[in-house]
Amino acid sequence: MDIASSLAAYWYFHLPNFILAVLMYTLLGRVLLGLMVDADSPNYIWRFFCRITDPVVAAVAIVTPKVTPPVLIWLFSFVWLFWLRVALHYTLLLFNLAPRIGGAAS
Amino acid sequence: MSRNFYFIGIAFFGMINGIFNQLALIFTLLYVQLLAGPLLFGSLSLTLMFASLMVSTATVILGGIPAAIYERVTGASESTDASLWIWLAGTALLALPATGNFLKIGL
Repeated sequence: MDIASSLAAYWYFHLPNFILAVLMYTLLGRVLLGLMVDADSPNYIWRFFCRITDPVVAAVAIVTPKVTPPVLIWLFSFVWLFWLRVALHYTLLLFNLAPRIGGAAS
Repeated sequence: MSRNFYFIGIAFFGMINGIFNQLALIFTLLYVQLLAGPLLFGSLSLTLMFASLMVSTATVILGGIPAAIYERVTGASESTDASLWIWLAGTALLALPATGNFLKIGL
């Protein structure tokens, strides 16, 4: 199955997986950019990263002890999103609804 | 007890699970190759280290959930010794499946 057919056939997997991947890598970008800019920086890339990842960070902060510093919560959010992607693929795989390994799951 | 000792203990148990929990490591390795391959330049060693890091961090995160719930239930504004103990115990419990391998092989 080529990539275009896989995208069409398994859109219910690829779309959430893509959104989760975007959030995951943006969080990684936020961590790296956070090393160089202040938390209240007006830099538009920083503000964009913060705006789209803040809901995830807020959700993860609820299930993380309060002693955890913000940068660790961002990294924890990255890991949460990774495992959410794994859970999504594995759940669909159990119901024989996901693309197999090598079927453009990345 | 200094808070640093809790953090060292939590990181230690996370590390033990990330290195010695073979089942979790193999499962994660398969998924890391699928989901984060380009991030790791297709290198198997990097992929294995990243998979180990994912298992370790997941152990620390999951161990922290009961501690976070305890903090929310008690309405604490800061983490207390009790919540850090819960976090430490949670990660220790999650690292139990890897303890056998750790004791047999060692660091």
